[in-house]
Amino acid sequence: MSKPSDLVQGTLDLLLLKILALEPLHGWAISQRLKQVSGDVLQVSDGSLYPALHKLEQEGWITAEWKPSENNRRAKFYSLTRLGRRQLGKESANWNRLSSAIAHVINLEEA
Amino acid sequence: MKLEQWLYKLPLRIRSLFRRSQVENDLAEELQYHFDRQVEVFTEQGMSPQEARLAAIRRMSGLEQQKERCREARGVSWIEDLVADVHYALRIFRKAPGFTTVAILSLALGVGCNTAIFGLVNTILLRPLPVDHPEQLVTLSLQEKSGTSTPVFSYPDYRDIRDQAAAAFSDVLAYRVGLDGLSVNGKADRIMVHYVTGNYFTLLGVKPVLGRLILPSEGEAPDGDPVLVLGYSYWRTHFGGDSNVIGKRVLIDGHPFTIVGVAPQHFRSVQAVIDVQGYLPLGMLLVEGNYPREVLNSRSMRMFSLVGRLRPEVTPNQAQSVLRIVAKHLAEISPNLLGGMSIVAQPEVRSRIPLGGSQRLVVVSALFLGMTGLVLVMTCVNLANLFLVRGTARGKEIAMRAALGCSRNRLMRQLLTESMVMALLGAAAGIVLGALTSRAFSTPKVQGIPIHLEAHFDWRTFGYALVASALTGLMLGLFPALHASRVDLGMVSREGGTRLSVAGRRLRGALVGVQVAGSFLLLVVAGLLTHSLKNAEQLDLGFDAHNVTSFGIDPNYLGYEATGGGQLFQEILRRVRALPGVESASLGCCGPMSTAPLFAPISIEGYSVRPGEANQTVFFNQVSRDFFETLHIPILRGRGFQQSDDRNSPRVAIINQTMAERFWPGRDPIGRKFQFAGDSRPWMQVAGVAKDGKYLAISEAPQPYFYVPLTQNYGSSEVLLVRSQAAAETVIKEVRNEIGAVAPGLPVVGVQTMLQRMDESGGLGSLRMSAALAAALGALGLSLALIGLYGVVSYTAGQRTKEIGIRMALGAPVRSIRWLVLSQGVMVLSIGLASGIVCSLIATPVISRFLVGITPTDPKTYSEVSIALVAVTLAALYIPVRRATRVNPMMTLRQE
Repeated sequence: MSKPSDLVQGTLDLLLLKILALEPLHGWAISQRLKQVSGDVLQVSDGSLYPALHKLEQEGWITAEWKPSENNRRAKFYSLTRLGRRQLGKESANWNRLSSAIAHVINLEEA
Repeated sequence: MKLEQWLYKLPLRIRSLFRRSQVENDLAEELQYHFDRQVEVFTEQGMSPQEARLAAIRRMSGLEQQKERCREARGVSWIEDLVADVHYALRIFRKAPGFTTVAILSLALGVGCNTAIFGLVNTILLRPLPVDHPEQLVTLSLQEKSGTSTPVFSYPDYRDIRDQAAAAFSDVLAYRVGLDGLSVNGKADRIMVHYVTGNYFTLLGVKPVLGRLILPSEGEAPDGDPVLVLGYSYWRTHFGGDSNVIGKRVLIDGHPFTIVGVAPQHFRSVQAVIDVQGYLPLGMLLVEGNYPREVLNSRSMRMFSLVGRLRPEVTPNQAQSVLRIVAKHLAEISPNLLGGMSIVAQPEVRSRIPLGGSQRLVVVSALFLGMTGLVLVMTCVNLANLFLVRGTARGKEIAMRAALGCSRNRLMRQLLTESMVMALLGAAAGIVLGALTSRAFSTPKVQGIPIHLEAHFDWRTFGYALVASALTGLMLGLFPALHASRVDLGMVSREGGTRLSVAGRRLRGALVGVQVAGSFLLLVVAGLLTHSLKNAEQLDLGFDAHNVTSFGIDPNYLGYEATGGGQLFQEILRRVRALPGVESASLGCCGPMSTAPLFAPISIEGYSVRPGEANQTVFFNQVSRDFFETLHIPILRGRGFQQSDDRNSPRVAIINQTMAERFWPGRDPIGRKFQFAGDSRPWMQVAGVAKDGKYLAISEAPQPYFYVPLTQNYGSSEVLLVRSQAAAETVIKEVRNEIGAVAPGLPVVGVQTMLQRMDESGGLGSLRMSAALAAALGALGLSLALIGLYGVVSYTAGQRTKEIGIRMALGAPVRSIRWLVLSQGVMVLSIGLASGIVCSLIATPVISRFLVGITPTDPKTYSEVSIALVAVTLAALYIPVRRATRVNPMMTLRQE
């Protein structure tokens, strides 16, 4: 239910972990960053973002804390935990394996 | 890794569970922040504030929906949901107190009767003995090649088994049940005792509540240790729980004994349902007087029950192979008696079915568990029906919740929680009800034998009730939940959205059909049992039970030997015969329907058994001369017993018709000779043939039986049978006086009229109880089915009021309106009836062994039940049909 329909399953988790690995961010900033880094290619609906964040928090991969934001309102900032960093490593490796395998298949010369 | 993850997870979960409002606020604030920023962005892009807000909500696919999805993502939501659902369910129940009361009460009835019946079954067949490691206990029995087994051994056999099977058993005990006279301060009472080997209590691991128990050193020597240990409940009821009883001198069958201790409260002997009143060392068995002195030395006297304790590391299979070797060895020692025999060990729990190995108890238990189970199912079906209709009435509420973002799963969970809460409330009430009912039949006495049936509410009973209720809850909730979760969101805005869908109506119809089938089955069982009862009451018993009263006496209780006892019997008979109104009086070892009949293997002159084949065991009776006259048993051939049949004359016997046909088919049995197997006295000669009768139970098949004269075969434990025209109370009072005058202090037990006896131990009473219970369950089932059918038909008719109004306005005759409403009920009825007949034909043969003079597929009973069911159903449908024909077309049409 919280799976984005326009993303390969599980990819959203990887993207979120990667973004948060760079710096702690709140939900709005994450959504902006997602749009910014992936251009128009990856359409992450805002409807999927928060459930995904809450799930990652429950898994113990990210942790949240309330801090003043850039417009001086309180916002919930997420940051990566040690566990999350390990998970990110694992998932990136998986992703690389998968994408290179697919690239390999696609680039097969037709006989 | 796992642990570290939990370090993060745990505080979060705890927080979301217990600081719910804070978590909720955080969630709202977080989403609000995002929303506000989004609105800002849209406004900067030139949208009006109104447009910007709408666009932002669309972008986030709805704020509330977001929240719900976040809650789900947190994963603990099911616990929160559960708590919320339970709260909600309770609130809904409070709002509909009528519905709730009916539902809980009917569940309480359903679960209650199940729990009560199960509690009994548990005590009789399942609950382990309250001793150390009861699972290690096994009961031993001797098995012939033919498969027939006897649960008793001779004392020398016991000693050999105990010593030679030590590899498998840490110990083996032996006991013998006895009924003895206990005289305290000159007052005598009959008590049920176990004569036990010295290791009885140590093997079981039972500790005394007072004094000491039988010691391992006691019991081996005949007449050596005159000590008595009292059973707890007998000590409480007859000695007032007085701790000064230790050391008290008492008489047992006239022999001095000393009370040395009291057994603990929950231990009621190694026999699960018998509340033994005293324990004596095995060697003291001789005080009963009717055992020869060699009882502890002879291999032919099999009378001891054996219970062994398996060594913890030994499997039943290993034990069995050890026993095989022991049996082989025993067969070498005594090829005549033990050749070809094997020794079989059975877990104690599984050997509780009484002697004779009939599976009666198991089948009765299963039958009533099955019937109460069926009633519970029907209760559920009814409630499911109610829930279904309510679910439809709540269609709007449910649609609203779905529109607000409640997922289908979540909705089903909510409805299931409601029914589970209902089931648990019902179960709680049912368990209380079951506990109260089972107390009513916990301690019956059958002819003075203390039976203990207290239905303990241990984890098995609770588990059973709980599982039954959980299944109930599931059944209750599942259909409505599945049905309601297919909600139509449009219902929120539509008027009158409370119609049951076509599928829902069909489902209700099917449910009611199941009920009709179930009640048919219950009613057929009730009908068969009722017919059996009637047949049994008119059955030819082979004797006349009217105007006969029985009194159990045993001169041995006061220490009389054979000669003195015989004279005492004669004196009692002489005095009783002189009483006014008495037509006849006689003695028998046991009257008809005795719980302690005599039986023995016999050998026939001119016929020798092959090795491995056993002598036929036949029930018999030791009677005084007038026995046949007192009970009006016709002698068909030869003669009855005469004055001249005494100790010095040739030994004679009177056999019944079945015995004559079995052993001397097609020949004249008079003058033929037979003998108790192994008896060294001269042969007994058949002097006459008596009419067949019922000896042990009303439902028994004809079986061989014979009578020997008391004068030639003395037994001290006799039943005095008195046929008198006087009222039973008068007879009882006068006969007691006479006995008291001849033998002061002699206990008179088992005093009852022969008719009471037929009821109590002849099986008439239990048949009557079964028939009544089955009828009650059948009536309960029928009323449930009627309520269901009535509900369905009147609901549908109500829904179609408008249609009926239009039909009437267009000139439809009343007849067709009537049929319109009736047809649905008739449809359900006929399908239910047909499946009920099929189910009954399949199921009723199970109870054939309890039926008297009727087959389980008796067409008369089936048609009676069908007619009754149809008649009652049509009567119940009268109301909705009538209401439909009274519809006023103008009124209904105007409501549009």
